[in-house]
Amino acid sequence: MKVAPLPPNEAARLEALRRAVLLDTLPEAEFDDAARLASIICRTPIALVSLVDEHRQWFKARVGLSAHETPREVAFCAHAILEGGTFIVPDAQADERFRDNPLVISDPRIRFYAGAVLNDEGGFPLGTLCVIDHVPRHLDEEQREALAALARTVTALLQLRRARNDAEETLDNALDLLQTLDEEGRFLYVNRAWLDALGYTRAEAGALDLFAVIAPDHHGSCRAMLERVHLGENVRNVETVFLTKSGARLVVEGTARAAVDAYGRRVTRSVFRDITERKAAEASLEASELQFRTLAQNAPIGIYRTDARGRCVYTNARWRELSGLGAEEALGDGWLTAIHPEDQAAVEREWLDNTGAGSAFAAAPFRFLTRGGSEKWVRSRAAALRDEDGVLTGYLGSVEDITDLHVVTLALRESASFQRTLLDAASLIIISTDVDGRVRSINAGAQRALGYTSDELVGKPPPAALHDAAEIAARAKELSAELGERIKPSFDVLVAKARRGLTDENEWSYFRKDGTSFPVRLTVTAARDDRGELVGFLGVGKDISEERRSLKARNEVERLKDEFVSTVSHELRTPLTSIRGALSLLHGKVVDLSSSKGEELVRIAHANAERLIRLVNDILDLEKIEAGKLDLRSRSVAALKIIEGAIASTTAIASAAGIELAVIAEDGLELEADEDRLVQVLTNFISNALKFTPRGEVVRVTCAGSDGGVRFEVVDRGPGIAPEQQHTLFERFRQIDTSDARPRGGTGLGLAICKAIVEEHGGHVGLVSSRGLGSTFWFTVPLVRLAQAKA
Amino acid sequence: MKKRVLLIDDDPDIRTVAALGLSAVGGFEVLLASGGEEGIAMAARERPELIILDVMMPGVDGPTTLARLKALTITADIPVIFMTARVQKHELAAYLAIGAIGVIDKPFDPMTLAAQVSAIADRDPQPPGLT
Repeated sequence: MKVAPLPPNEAARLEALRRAVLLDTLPEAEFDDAARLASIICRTPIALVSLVDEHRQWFKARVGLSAHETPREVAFCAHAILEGGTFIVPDAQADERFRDNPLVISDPRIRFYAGAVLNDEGGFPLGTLCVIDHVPRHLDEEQREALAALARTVTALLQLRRARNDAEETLDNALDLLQTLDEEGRFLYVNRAWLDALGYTRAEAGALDLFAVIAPDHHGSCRAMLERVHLGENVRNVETVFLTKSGARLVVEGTARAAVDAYGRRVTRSVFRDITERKAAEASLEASELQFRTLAQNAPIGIYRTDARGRCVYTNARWRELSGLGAEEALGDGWLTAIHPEDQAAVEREWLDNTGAGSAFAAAPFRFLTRGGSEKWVRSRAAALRDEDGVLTGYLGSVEDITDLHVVTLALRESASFQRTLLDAASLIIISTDVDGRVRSINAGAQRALGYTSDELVGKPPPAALHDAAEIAARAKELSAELGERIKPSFDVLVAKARRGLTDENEWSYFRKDGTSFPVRLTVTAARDDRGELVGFLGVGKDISEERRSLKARNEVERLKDEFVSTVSHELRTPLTSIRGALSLLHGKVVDLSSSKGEELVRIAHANAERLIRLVNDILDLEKIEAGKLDLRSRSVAALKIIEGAIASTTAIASAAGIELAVIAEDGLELEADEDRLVQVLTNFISNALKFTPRGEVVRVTCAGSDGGVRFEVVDRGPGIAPEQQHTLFERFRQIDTSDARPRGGTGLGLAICKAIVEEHGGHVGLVSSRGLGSTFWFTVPLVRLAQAKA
Repeated sequence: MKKRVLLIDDDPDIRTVAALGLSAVGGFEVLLASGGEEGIAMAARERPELIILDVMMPGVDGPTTLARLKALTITADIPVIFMTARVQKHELAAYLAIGAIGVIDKPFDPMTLAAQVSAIADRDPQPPGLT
């Protein structure tokens, strides 16, 4: 036996064979048919499609032979592929290459062999289509041609198959799940991605039908889908669920359509995409949206959403409850109608400003006014919503009911403002400090009174400069004695009693910033929190300068009253003393009435009785005038007439005193006045002047029009009056102390009465005087009219 | 021997009445002065046993006169009785505080004036020789 040598390019040939993907595959009808046809045409019992690999020949198709393969050394085909074309051995026993070949000498006892080489598209001889007989024989020309043609057909089949493998490999590389079903729903083809996704091998898949891999809950929809396909529909958007080999659910979507395959079979081809993850994401999104929606619907705050232009697209139940609007009414710009008319413009402006700028929105509190008239204070905030690229997509906002808070806030603000106003309006000095005396607040009153600003004192220890160190030291000593423990002369002094729960009211001197001081009555109280813990002190001080001044004034009034009583009593008792004394002596007959002593006592009694009467009249007069009960009998009177009246009643005294009275009177001045009263005033002035003017001098009496009135003047040549005595001269019982031996005779009430009378006429009194130059007493009375000057 | 009393008062009528009461009724020897200045001079010169002094006088008034009498060695020991129409209680106390031994109210009765003066002088142990 002769073993066939290897072909010259055996390695490349073997590689080509491997790529053909034929070895060890299942039998296929096309190859089987080719072998049968060859057997029939060539009238041989055996026909094979044989492929020669490295160590054997393997039969893709075989007729009349049970073996699947034989060793390469004994293979007739190994010889055939070296020859090319059709290799014929008419009688193996007669051919020394095969005479002792085991296939010749034992079963299948080959005597005749004819093999047409199968070349692939690259020209590599892969094997043969061969016919075999048990008797020596020949092929006629037709048979030889038919065998060669059949071999070419198998070669074409190989090429086709190769192309199909390429296509399948491509499909296997696809990410989508591809499947082909026959009419019964059995899998004719699935791709690699399908196998990987469902976890089956290709062989396992070949044994399955569709319903074995569809989740039971989708069988119905799946069946319906198949029916539509069979009716010729291209079904898109198929969504179904596969069960993997391990039982997991695989959600897929894709298409299904009917087709006829290469073999003329009606099949269903489908392309699916695994959308399990997307579905899971969608489900999770849906769940989260549902969650949000549920939250939004049940949230205790109002929630709304708008588009990028700020137009409302959603409101939750609470929002609608607050606004009183329905869901539809709130849409677009409808929400604005729920806002209180007074707040509408401001909110809209603010909203447009913010949404226009794409910024977050936080409105000042505003009001919703429902149709029912209920008013709600709300606070609204909104945040801009943006997509992944940062483009504004809308706003998500909240509305919070702050009616209660707002009312309380307003009340608090009002109360705080009221308190502040109260504190500031108070003329009191109100200072609050912490426990250590650090100033917490001072009111406007304190700032005004002390001259410090709030900033200069608040947060700082109380400046020692406010207090008088000596006062503090003295008080410290007092307190130490009173409380039985040492109180340091410091802030402690001010609060020692308050700290012990006692009231402390004291008068202190406070120093202003400019160094001047004023008296303050300070009450210090301890401020305690809810638990009674000491948290600070409150000092309320009152500037008592005025109080002290008025106390002083009151004391002065009291003193004057005393003095008046004393004086009146003295003035009344003095003449009474003389009267009583004279009468008592006469009555007691100490002195004889008819004696000169007796006569003098009678004169004394008489003169003093007169004086007493004058005095009593003057006092009554004065009281009457001051009580406003003086009835002026006013009528038109010439100023000159008043002078004449006064001169008439003083001429005698002037003559007796050796003093000349000179009158200078302007003519035609007419007054509306009580003539007797003004004569009384002028007489009084002249009498005084005469009293103090030395003998031989002149007292001048004048009257002249002056500034809407008449001015009367009495000018004396007396000693003059010291400035410090001048201002009290018109007060009652204020006679000028003088060592002049001349008896006074007056009651000390004359000038006071004059002043009252003149003022009752609407005029003024006064004097001009200086030591050694005499005095001028004057009074004015408003002029009623100038009498028509006589021509 | 008659007691010598100095009466200082600015009112001539009162001087007349009081002098009559003291001399004609009481039997005192009476010296008269019309004001403080004159009274001090007279007291120093005459050394009376008692001085009756008006309070309200023009010029040197009663209290000033008293102070000046007390300041002079030769008049310091002469008892002084104030005589006044100002009779409020606090005034009385003030007069006594500045050294007067007593106060006689105006209006006084000249028929009993001398007795009144003696009673005050006797009550006060200070002035020796006045009985």
